[in-house]
Amino acid sequence: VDRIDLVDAARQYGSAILRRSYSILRDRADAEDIAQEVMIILLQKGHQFRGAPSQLGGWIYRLTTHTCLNRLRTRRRRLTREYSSEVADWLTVQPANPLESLTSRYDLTALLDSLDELGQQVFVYLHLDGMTQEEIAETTGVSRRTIGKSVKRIEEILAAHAEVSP
Amino acid sequence: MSHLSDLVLDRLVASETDRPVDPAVARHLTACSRCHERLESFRRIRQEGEETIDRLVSSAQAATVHRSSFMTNESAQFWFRQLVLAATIGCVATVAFVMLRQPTFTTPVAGKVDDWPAEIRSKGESIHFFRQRAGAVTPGMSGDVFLPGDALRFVVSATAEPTYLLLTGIESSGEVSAYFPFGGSSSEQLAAGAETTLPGSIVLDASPDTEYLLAIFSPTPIHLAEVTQAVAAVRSESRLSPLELPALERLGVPGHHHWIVVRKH
Repeated sequence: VDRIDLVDAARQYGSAILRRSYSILRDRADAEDIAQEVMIILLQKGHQFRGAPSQLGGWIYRLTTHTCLNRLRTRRRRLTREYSSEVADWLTVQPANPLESLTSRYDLTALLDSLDELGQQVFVYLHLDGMTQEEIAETTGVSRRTIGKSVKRIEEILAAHAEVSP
Repeated sequence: MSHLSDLVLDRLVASETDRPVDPAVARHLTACSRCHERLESFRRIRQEGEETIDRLVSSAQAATVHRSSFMTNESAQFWFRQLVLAATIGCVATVAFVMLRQPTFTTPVAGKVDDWPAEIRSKGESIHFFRQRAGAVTPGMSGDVFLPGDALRFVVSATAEPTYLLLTGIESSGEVSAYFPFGGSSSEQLAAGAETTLPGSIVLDASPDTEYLLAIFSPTPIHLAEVTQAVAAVRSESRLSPLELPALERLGVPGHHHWIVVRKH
């Protein structure tokens, strides 16, 4: 994309990439790894982006979400690493949605197992980012109707989860 | 208007220097303290993370240029100095951690070390490794995703004497290579008690397959051919293609096995 300097874009959105990676993965080292992966993909494949410059943020969001979800799916047993609260706080802000307790790493992983790939993305956009269904449709490139169905399915799963874990 | 999503806030923070704010968004921010506070926290995160972002962008730029190779001892001298620094800091930090029983985060030193070393330790043996990417050295962990051009360097120790080590790389296709001793045909004896930084480093190629690194500690030498034959047997029995760790963990080769999973992007 001639109109967009990809290195500048990586710098502009670097904080957003890192913050949302952390909010999904809840691990600073993992978040940095993912952020770097996303930046490399951005630098290597960003020229394939065909949208308007103003839409680049949504594209990067989708890429980051996809990469984080892949990491969650394939996460293997890791050694426990601990950080001081100051470091954890550095990247932590309150999730947009009060369903924060449902998006802790372990719960999120369990919930994601119940959803297909689109459902997983919709869940993150809806409950972690506080996006509207219109914004999710724009970010994912999927119709508003399909997003609506996915949201309904997620609500059913959350309701079932709430019954199991009062 | 409902609250502003993270996407809107991130777009705002990312482009506020070169794009006017949407009037509806500006009005909402004036009226809604919750969204205003979130925007401020996003700005703060961006400011505080500038150094990290610069480092990640520089690494990402450097990682786009790579080639597969095995570094020679000479070219690894620079590495060695960095590893000594990294290992020293890691040891000091670990001792402090154990003594104080209170986790602390090691302040990045010259941008080289910002994490705890990941170590696999059992039966008096240990192996841990470092990853070098774009000049920055960080401790590596089994299961991490690595990029083409990433270089891995290993530090081992053993208390029993004699202890032999064979470090092999097993591709998911079943191909086996010796990394220590590099290109060798059997284990090499380690100096007991002391930590040993293995010579050279593995520089990852662009192949996206997962590679399994197997370190075999044993009281007598193990031949590479034993590993190759055992991998072939597992492959034949399990009929797995590509090979996966649960099957490989049943390798019928003597010695203590330590596995490191190298997932390649």
